[in-house]
Formats: sequence, structure tokens, C-alpha cells
Amino acid sequence: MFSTRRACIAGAFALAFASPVLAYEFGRPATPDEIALWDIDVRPDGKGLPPGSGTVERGKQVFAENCTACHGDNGVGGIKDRLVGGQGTLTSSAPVKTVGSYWPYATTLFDYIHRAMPYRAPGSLSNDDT
Amino acid sequence: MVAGQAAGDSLADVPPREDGADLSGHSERSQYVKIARIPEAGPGKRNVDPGDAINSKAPLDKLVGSITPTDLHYERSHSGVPDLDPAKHRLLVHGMVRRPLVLDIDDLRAMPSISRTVFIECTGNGWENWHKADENLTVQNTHGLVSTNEWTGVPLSFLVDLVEKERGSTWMLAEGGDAAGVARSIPLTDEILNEAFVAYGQNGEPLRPAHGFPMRLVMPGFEGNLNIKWLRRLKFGDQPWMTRWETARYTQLQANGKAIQFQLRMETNSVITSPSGTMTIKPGYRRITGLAWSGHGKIARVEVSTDGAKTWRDAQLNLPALAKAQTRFQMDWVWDGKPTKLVSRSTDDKGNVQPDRKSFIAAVGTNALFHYNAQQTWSIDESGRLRNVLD
Repeated sequence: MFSTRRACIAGAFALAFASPVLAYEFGRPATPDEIALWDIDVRPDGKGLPPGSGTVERGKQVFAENCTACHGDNGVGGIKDRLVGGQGTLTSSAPVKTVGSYWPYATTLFDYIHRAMPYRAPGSLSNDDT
Repeated sequence: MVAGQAAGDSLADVPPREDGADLSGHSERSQYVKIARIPEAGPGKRNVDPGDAINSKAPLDKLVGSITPTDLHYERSHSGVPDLDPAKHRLLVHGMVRRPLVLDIDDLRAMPSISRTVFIECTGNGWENWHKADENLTVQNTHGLVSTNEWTGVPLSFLVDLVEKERGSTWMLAEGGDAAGVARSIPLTDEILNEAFVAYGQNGEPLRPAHGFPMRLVMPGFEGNLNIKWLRRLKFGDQPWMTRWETARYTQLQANGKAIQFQLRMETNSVITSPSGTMTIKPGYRRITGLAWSGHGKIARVEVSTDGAKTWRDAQLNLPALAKAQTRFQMDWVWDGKPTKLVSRSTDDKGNVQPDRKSFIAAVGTNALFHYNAQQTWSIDESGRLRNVLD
């Protein structure tokens, strides 16, 4: 471990002193503004979560417009993944994994819907609508 | 089988030489070779509309050697195959780094490169047999989600140095340019920092679109879904992001209702590819052959049983056995015409032995869905037909 760390430090010094020009020959610096365009990930501690808000009523409307075609009227019975229910089935021979029964973090739900849903227009939902 | 066909004919029956076809820009397969992947959906969901398929399985029963032809490498795509113009594609490397960078394909191709022959395996490989065995399955159906190619690209460690990753960064988010934006958190262990690379080459040519053109991550020995295709972002951080794919999807549900996350390494595995499910053999001399692989390292040994796992013989390995690549094995056998079962089990150079199905299920239950690496058994009845069975 000690020798590995020492080798890393030696490598860092070598890069810093021997080839600083070489390092800049690849690519270009990323600007904060363009990073913000792509920096969509959200962690369980809330880091990355954009400001926004919503109501249950608005949520129903967004769900009906964007989600029911695949996931069913109430998140059940659609042609794609079931979203609700399944609690108590995970130890059975036919576990039902849904957002309600299996997803451990709310931030994952925001991250995934915001980046990948609806299936035919990924990334089209606003922060509030997500 | 070939010997039997040849016995009755004469060299006079072989067609005479004739003018060949014109030379061409690229070589097509012989019209006599019928070989293709099979698009499938989840376990038991076969012969589906291509629009409903989530993967496409490699024809292991028709392959020889250990390299998978590029167009037959298995495919798992989460939201179709994007048609990316490399001139417009960019890789953003940022997060806990001192110099966030935007790189394009020309930048990558100008960097120091490595080439490495490794298997990539979908973590769902083998999932047909968790609960029961459909006797009509071929080895393409049961094990077709693993392939071995030579990949060429830039070591992750080079990019890490280039952007001057901060010492406190212990995780990396890799994100694809597909519609789903598939993203996985990758722990920056010494092994991964030493072995992972961003590939732009596949078997000597640019990546095929189905496999991530113009650039993808290659993670030797680890879950296929970590080998992010159409790579467009690497973000360094100090904890995992807990994306959908590492919480809701690629986790292993245990018998107690709890799930294992970040079981990233692909296990020690093997399967007999010939003779295998749905084939029919005749009594007499047979050559048994198959493939073995391990995410831990090199295949050190493959044993084959021709009596339903009662006794075992060492198979011959086709050398060299490369670390984290598929290795071909073979063994002579004379079938006496009596019903029996064929089984293979592999051992890697770290001493890991592929488990028998009973011990495997006893340890992990039947709900894990992913990471099935139990020994595969093919039964043979008195007519010589082979069937997929549990054990």
C-alpha cells in the first residue's frame, strides 16, 4: 500500500513537471455552463436535485398525459413495468418489484424519470413535471 | 457425423472447380452458413417482436474457437441502438477533477491505447433456468448473453491522470448516449483503475453501433451493463449515485426479501456448447466441446462429467487461456447409447469453482434473477436427443 501510494505520488509529480504541455493536447476544457446542460444525475443525499415543486393534482395530469399509455391508468395493468403494489411479495416465488415495493430511494425515481421518460421522448419533462 | 456422411460418397461426387465470384469490398458469409443471433425478451419470452426484445443472444452452438464474430457478439440495449455521428459525439469528463475536459473520438484515438481480449457477459445470462428448465432450449437460449472480442481503447487510468482526479473521489458515474441515458456508479478500486478502458475499437475495426459506437467503457470481468455503451459522460464523485440500474434493476433479490446491490463481478462459469440442447447424437465417438470464463481471472481447469456429475474428467483447454476471456475446452467421449447427462464445471486461477445447481440455489434462492452461474446439465435420452435440465 505504502509503495503503491508512493508510486502514485511519483507519477503525479512526473506528470506535473515533465509533461504539463502534453496533457493539454487532448480535448478542451469543459465550461461550467455546458457541464450544467449534461449534469443531470441526482444522488440519494439530494445532491444534483434541481429546485422545483408540484402538486398531486398536477401530477395526476402529467401522469395521464405521459405515463398511462405504457404503465396503466394507476400504474398497474400497462404494457410496461408495473409501478405500484407488490408489497409483501418479495419473499414469495413470484416477487413483484415496483417503485413501491422495491425502489429504495426517491431520488432514483426523479433521476430516472427526468433522464429517460417518457420512453419515446426522454428528457422532455420539466423539473416540476418530473 | 461428418465421417458417416463421407463414408457413402465418392470423390467423383464432389463438384468440379468453377469460376469464383468477383472480389469485393467486404466478405460475406457462405450461403451455406446459417448463423444469427436471436432477439429475446425476459426469461421464457422468446420469438418476440424485435421491438419488444431487450437482448439478442449469440449462437454459442454454432461458434468455434473463443472469439465471437463482431456481428454475432451478444447485444443488450436498454432503449434501442442510437445512430451516433462521431463528429458530433462528445465525452464529458468532470466532477471531482481539477480539469474537466470535453473529448472527441479523435482525441481518444490520439492517446496511448491498449488492446485486450475479454468476455462481456450480461448479468442476466443463464436466467432461463432459475425456476425450471424448458427442455426445448438451445445453449444459445440458455447462455447466449456472453461473448469475447478484442477491444481497443484508452486506459481509464490515463483519463484519470489527464483530468487530475481528486484523491477523495472513490466512485465514477459512467453514462451512455442512448435514449435511456443508462448510468452506473463504478467503485474506483485498484483493479478497476488498472484494467478499465474506454474502447473505440472492436476486433480491429471501429465499434459496431449495437456495441457502443463511437466509444464505450470496457470493464473486464464485471457485469455487462457496467460496460456503458455510447459513452458520453464520466463523472467523478465520492459516493454511488444509486441509479435505477443499480437499485431497481441489476440487484439480486434474496430469499429473505432483501436485495444485494453492487454484486458487480461475473462469476466462474462454463457450458458445453456441443453437443447441447435440442441436438441429436449417435452412439460412438463424440467430441465434447464448450466455453469457460471467469470474471476473477484465467480459467485454470474445466472438468466434464458424462454420467450426471457422478465422476469427472479433465477437459483439454485450448491455450492460451486469457484472463477474463472465454476459453474453449474439449474432451473425447464414446457414447454407449444409454441415457445419461453431460455436465461441465470450471475452476479459475483464483481457485473459484463453478457451483452445482443444488448448492447454488441453496445459497442464493430462486429470485435473484441475475448472476446465475450454476453448472449446466444436458440430458441425453435413448434416441440421442439432448435436453436442457436443471441437474
